[in-house]
Amino acid sequence: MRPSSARARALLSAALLLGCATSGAVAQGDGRGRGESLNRGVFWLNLRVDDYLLEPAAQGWSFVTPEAVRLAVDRLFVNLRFPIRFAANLGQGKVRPSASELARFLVNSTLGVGGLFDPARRLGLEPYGEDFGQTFGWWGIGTGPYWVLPLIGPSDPRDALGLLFDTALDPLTWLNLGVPGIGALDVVNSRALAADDILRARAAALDYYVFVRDAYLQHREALVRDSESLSGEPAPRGPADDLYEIEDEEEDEEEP
Amino acid sequence: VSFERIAPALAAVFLAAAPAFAPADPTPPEGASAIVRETLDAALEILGDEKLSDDQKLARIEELSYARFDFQTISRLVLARGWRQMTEEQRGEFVEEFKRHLSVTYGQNLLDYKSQKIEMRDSRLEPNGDVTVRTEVVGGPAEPIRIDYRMRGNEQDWLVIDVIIEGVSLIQNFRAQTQEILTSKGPQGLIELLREKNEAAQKGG
Repeated sequence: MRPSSARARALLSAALLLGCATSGAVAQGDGRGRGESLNRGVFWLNLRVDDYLLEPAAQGWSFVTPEAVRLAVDRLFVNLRFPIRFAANLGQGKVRPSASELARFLVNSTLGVGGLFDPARRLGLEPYGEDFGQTFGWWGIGTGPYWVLPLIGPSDPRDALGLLFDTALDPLTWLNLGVPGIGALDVVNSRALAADDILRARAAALDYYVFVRDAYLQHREALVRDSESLSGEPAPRGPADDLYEIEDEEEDEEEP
Repeated sequence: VSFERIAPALAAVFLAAAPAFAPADPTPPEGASAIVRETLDAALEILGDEKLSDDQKLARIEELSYARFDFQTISRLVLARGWRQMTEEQRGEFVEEFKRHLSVTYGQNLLDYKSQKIEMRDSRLEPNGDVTVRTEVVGGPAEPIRIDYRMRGNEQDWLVIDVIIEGVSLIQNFRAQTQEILTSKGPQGLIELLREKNEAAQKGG
């Protein structure tokens, strides 16, 4: 499961299903063509894994735990993954955010009982969720084509590379070698927290594959844009302006 | 990596101790922002009213949002070129079904939002005269959720033409979906699919 920022997780975990992920160019048409049938195939496979394995496991987990416990477990994992956010912030020259993340980690690991609680926030230490996909985006690296990765879910070449860096820095990667099942707990717990969102997203989507693809691309691009805005540009831009032009007679859809 | 890219980073390093950058443009139309604030307050009041049943709440929220959303424009923007492929009658049907779709699928989500608060952030005047009103839903169990409203003004009012949740534009997302369906099934096929989805959602809900 992708170590995304807590916010990314909170929000459209629905759309980012099966691996809250990472990415870039909002594209009308990206991901179609050559790669699409393969992507759709892998997406379908991931959904089956979710239907038969992950969702039932998450339901069971929800049955035996109150939501407060699931949220605490989530905070614990988020806290554990502090090295990723620290390094990804530094990689974008964000010294204050990375310092804030460091302070949060120190406070929450101690006063917050390993991260089960978040007393740092009450001290005014804000989280700055970043990952290496975002860092590479901030460096100006494009996303490349949309990819659906087996078991991981939505991604693209840039975010897949970012995921490698994230995974290398993820204490869970090392913990898992000694204590098997910790990673599984994280995945099941995250899936349980996102259950309602996923259910609604599947009901709302006309084409769930396209819904997820587009939500992923838009969301990742917004995250990268937000990062840029911190470094001195004005408030982050919204979607491209031509999205809001009513077309009259002429064809003027354009590639970004 | 170009120097332009790195310069702000370096600047940020040196300014690390200084307060955060001030927002760039403080005064886009307050009218749009006030309208959003008003509408959200009214919605929160309905959702927090313990005398109302869930169905009553939804009915009132529906009434509130039907008055505030410009579904005609939303539909045109979602369909883009597809709008021109439709007959006048199909357009009307699409607008109605799409309205119902947003209501049955997203209305339900709102019932969760009881205890949260909405914070207004700085709004932004867009090049075409629209205003993006930025808000944050805070106080829930998880992280704050950013929701932006794209508002378009006419002579007497500001109406919502897009909702952007954590960077994901509703229009963009539905455009991506409908474009593919229009290509494979045509306008009538799209309307039928929407109708089926709505009926299933209404039965299920």
